[in-house]
Amino acid sequence: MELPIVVASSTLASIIAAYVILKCKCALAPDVHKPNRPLIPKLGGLVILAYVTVSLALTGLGGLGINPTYGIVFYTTPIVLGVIGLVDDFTNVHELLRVGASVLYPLAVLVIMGNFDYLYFPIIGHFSNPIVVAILTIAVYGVFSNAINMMDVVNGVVPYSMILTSIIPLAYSIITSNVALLQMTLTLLVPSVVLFALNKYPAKLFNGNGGTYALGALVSGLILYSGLGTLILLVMVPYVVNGLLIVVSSRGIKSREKLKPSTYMNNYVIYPNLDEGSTLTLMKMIVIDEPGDEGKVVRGFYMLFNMVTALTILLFIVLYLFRWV
Amino acid sequence: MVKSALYLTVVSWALLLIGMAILGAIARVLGNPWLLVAVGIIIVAAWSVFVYDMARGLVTKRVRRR
Repeated sequence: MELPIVVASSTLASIIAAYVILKCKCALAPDVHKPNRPLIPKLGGLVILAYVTVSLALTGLGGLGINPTYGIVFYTTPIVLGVIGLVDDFTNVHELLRVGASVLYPLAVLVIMGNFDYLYFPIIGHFSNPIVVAILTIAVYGVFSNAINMMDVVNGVVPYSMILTSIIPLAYSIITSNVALLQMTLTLLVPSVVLFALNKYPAKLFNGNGGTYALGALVSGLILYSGLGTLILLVMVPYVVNGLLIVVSSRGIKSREKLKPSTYMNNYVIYPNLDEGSTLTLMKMIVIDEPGDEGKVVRGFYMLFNMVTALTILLFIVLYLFRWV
Repeated sequence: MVKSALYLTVVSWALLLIGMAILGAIARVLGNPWLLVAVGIIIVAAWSVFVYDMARGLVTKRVRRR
């Protein structure tokens, strides 16, 4: 099916999903950073799942334009992880099961389907050894599907950063008329725009674990299969830094409830928690210079992502001019 | 407002880029995928240690100023 029809239908599906979630007013969670702690629906994952599922159903595995094995990994992993995330939104799924699924599902697809192709990363080069491809797949899916979930602490930051992450692959796919890459990029960009419209500060809808795992899987797929992995990884540096700080300071992968809070709130102003053993996060780094309300923290996160995106776009232009991408 | 976080992020970005450039240079010279994986792990580990230490240092510095 033609790409414009696929994109229009998938966009409509994600908008309908968002409308249904807002009308249903189910799976509500308190927005702890706001006065009166308003109850907000946390099923934003359905917006992503609706887009990816309709897009995949209309295109079919044969029409994706990339290696079929990689196509299955790219389009089905967000669905699998998104469903696990939605279950996690209702009943707590053990963190090892979540992390295990994010690593084992794409690996299982690779092993069952076989048919490995090379992976290309600008600046670094090609990887064609099947075991190295499997190791890279495990590392990228394992890190990013969880790193995005760790950053989802204030309104709007995750979908905003996903929109910025889509800029370079979108530009490159248009410049090179690469329809397969354009479709992969739009699969990340369009539901992120819909989600951003509703999740931006002050949020009407939360991404939920379903949304963050699905977005993590989509961005992991783009890193591996877009041929622009290095540049996407550089735009995602705040996520990597935040994940690293959390995992090292809390000595392992733990669920959000088990972490010693990195910040505390007094009169709706967020302060850094300076107690011994409190978790180190990027949010703590933001408020350590000057405590502020949620809106101020959100603008701080936006500034970080704007800066790394601007630097990476400059790098992309240089690499493109020298024909290194 | 976000001086410490911005400094940490930009330095991490630059160091990651340098690390990947070194990995790319080694890939061009040697071409052995296993050696490349080993060097990649060493670069990521060194980057992680440096970034975490820098973050802790920035927090300590801000706390002392208060």
